[in-house]
Amino acid sequence: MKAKQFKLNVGYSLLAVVVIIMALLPVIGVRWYVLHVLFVFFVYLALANMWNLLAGYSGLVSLGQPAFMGIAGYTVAMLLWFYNIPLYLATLAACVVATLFAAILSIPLFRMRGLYFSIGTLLLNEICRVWFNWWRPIPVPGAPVGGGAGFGIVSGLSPTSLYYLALAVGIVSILLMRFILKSKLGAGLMAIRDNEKAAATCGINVFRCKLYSFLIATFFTGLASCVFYFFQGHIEPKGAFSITWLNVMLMAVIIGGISTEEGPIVGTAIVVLLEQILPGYAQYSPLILGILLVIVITVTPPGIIGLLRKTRTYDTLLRYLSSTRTKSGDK
Amino acid sequence: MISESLIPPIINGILLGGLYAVIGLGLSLVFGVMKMVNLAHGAFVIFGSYMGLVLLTVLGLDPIIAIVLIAPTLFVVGYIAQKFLINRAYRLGAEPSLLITYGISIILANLFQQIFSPYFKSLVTPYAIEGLKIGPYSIPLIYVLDFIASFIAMLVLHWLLNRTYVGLSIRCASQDPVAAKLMGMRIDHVYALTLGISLFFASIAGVFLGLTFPFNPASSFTYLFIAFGVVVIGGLGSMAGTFIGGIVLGLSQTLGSYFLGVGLQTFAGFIVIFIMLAIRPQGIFGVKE
Repeated sequence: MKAKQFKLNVGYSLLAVVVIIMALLPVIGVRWYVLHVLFVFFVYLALANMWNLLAGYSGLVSLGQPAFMGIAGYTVAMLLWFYNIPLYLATLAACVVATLFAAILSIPLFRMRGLYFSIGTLLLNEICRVWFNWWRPIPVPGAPVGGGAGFGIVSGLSPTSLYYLALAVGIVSILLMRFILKSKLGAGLMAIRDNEKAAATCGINVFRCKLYSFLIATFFTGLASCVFYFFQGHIEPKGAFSITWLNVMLMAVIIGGISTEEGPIVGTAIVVLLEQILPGYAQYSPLILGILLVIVITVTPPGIIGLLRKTRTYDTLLRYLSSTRTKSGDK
Repeated sequence: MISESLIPPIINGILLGGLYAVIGLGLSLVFGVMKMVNLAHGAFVIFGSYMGLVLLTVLGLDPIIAIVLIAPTLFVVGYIAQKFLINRAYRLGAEPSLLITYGISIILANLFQQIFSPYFKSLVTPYAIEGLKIGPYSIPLIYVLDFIASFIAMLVLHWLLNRTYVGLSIRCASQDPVAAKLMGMRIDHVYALTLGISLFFASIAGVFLGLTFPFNPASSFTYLFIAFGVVVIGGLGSMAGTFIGGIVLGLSQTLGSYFLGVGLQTFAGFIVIFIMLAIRPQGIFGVKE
């Protein structure tokens, strides 16, 4: 059940059609509100996909992704604020810095096993928040910079280009998942997740596989976070290292269906619907999501997609989407 | 050669450690018995604080007396939560139970926010602001009360686990769940009792916390980390370890504040926890599994 994959020709072309439609939306002049919702959707989708790679496929239930997002956001903010580096170079640098940060931290973090890893990563958010709340890099007289006030981020991007950026990040995250899962790394990761000792016995380098997936996930989480902060135009510690980010990833993946490729897409759609479409009730959305999460775990642990997969219609749909040429689609 | 000005932070740190120990007590119990991380622990601690607030403002009940009402309520809440929600996830493994407690903590924190607003509240009583003069030093009376309460809570839990039938069954379930089941124990019931007892002590911690510091819905995560710290530093399954863990954490915060400044007070504590997690996750007194 786990690896019923989209080996698609039909699927890829469907994705291509969706991308083209999405790309045309600003051109035909859709309301900015719709674009804004889609922007949030794609950023969240990238975050959810990367969390799914960690928790669903690598057995690393990392609760510390907000810390890496914040590090990337802060790096880009400071590069732009103090050094005036070109935007795309700064973004790349921010992702690299976040990844390096993750690489250094992986030394102590990977010593922590199972639940201890989750606690350690959860602690990272709080450590970063306290640190950035206190830290004032260069005192600028009169201007509140650093510390609790945070930084402004002047990206100079138009709303349309922000939307395209988010679209690109979201689609790349889907393709990346596909690519990783098809690769040797993906097979190794799934073997580790199912039984770490058996995988190690079969000659899989457990540490390296986990490290790679951790670093890849951090890089793209950082990228998505940069795109988000270009939109927000401001970063401060309380929001940057907030547990809210964790909510987005966790809820989207668990409610949609962990360890599935379609799950995060469905889950993200639900999260975004609850957060953006219920304008008057936005303050209730975390509450509703929390209740949904508890219901999903107690009633149908594999998530909505897991529930759907038991039905025949979905099976037929999947078989239709899988091209006839592949033989090993279903397991 | 301890400098004179170092003495107050050390005394405060040790006394504060008592409060931290009782915050971590319930988490340690659940972690030790079920090998489950209860991410909602902090939220339940704050639950106790808010109940104290309601009883204080509506009925004018002194928070320390109100524990008689608060702690049994939280016991029931814990029992129900474990029996009907967490046990279902617990059967699936460690990660689903971790995630379901995360969901519960989000639900609780947002409920508190809707009901009590996100602003800081505190349990204001006449004795909460009193100072106690010992020689040249003045220490807050409430810190001393925290320490005494924590000591009593430890003794009660120790008695409960080692001298009662319930304690015996909890220890059995923790040592070998399969064998316990084969002997005809209702293991779901025992787990539910465990979480109930854990929340019983969490709510006591919550009341004393509310008397000592202001709290808001977001505090549930701050105190979750404190509880983790106590468990991680002290180690599992040892009452003395939990006590020492609390004191180490309390000292690292007050001394961190003394040496690094107030802004980095919690930072020092978190770094100590993080290093401890990496080097010796079973804690100072814990036994490696």
